[in-house]
Amino acid sequence: MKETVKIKSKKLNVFYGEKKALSNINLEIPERKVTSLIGPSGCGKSTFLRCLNRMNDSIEICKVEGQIFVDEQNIYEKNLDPVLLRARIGMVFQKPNPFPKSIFENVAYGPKIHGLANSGDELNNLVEVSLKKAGLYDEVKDRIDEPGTSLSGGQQQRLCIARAIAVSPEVILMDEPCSALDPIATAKIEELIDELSKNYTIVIVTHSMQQAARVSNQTAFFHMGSLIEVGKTEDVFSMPKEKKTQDYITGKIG
Amino acid sequence: MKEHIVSTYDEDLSLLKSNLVEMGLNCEKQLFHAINITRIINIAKANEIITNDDEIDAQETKIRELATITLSKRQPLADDLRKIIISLKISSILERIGDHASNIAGRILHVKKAPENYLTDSIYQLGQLVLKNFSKALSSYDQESQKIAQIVPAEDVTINSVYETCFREHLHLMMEEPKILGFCTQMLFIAKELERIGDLSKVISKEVIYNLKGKLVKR
Repeated sequence: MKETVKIKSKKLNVFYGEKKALSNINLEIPERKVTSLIGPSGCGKSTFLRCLNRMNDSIEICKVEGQIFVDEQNIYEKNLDPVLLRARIGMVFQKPNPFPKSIFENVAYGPKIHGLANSGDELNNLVEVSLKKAGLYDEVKDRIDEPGTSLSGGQQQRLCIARAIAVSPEVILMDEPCSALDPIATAKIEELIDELSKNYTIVIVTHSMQQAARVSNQTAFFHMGSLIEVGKTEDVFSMPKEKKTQDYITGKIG
Repeated sequence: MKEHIVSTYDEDLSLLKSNLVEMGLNCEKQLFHAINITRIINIAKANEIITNDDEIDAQETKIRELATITLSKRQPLADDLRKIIISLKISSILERIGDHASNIAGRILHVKKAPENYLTDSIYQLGQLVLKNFSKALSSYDQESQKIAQIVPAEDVTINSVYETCFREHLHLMMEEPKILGFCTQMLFIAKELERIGDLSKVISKEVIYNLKGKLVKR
């Protein structure tokens, strides 16, 4: 079966002031698959991720050239509303960042502002479904009105995933979602990523080669602002085409 | 060759390699003696070969342990992973080759001495070819040389045809002189052991190519 391309970047250049952070990135991200972005710190992988839902708009000195297409639509078009875009393309960060509100409110917030639920019952149902999809419902169903911050780190991260799912996004971006978590919480997130990839396109930035190898279908290696290699994960980790990729994934001196 | 940022990682891999090369040299020595006693029968040597096989078995166990520790400690990828995978494969092949050398010694213990009218040294010559090709397979691993590794399968074709010739020659000998039937049967078993070592050398060379190219070669 041929893969459908969900996101496509074309000749993407990103500058922070004078500094060029990304140089001529052409990358296709397949639909309902997991793509991992790997590379050393400062290589531009997080910058690329942030371009995908225009998170970089808020950084004044950041300038984006080139195009990013989501379903054939250029998301850098002038009249595109970034708020609506971010409802389609959700994001989960490195450090879990629940709102200082109840577990329920954390998940209900997005659907409320986007008007996705018409009644209280509908909203309750949407929160429950989102928490279930994030694999958190059974753990929190009896304390749904307690603060989101009262949960453990791993639970908070899954709460953030539930919050992202609640607005029915098409794509979920994850920026090192497990780096602040212990191995068990990490395993639960990885299991969740696998489950979510049936319905969502997932792009994940990770520093763990083993995690990238475990969870993703496609892997892209960035180095000093350039896309060095992209391919099937099994190929990239068993027989990388580029020497730079091989040196990076095997931990050799660059 | 670039080094790992973690230098103990390089030490782990080179320890694995040196252990495997040492095991290979031990097999080579066993094979050398086993082939020699097919020409000049030496019972003491045959016993020594059989005893020494325990050492090869112990070396295999050690390599397995080293590989397991390195896998769990480093969670290797790409060429590092292949190096460890092939060390496991090759060590088990070497252990088999050690067994074949020991089996040859066992056959020699059985025949005790050669009949006076058994004049051919074709099995010894077959052994020489096998030994040479095995040494090549071993150096292709040691030197990580695809060039040497590619020679091995081609040489094995020659070995197989020499084996066939040996087989026919011994059939004739047995038909002509039924008194040496028992001896010749043992010698044919030895020839078969040698032919197997030839095949296994070929498998080693293919593992070496897999390590270097990242692709499995058809057997």
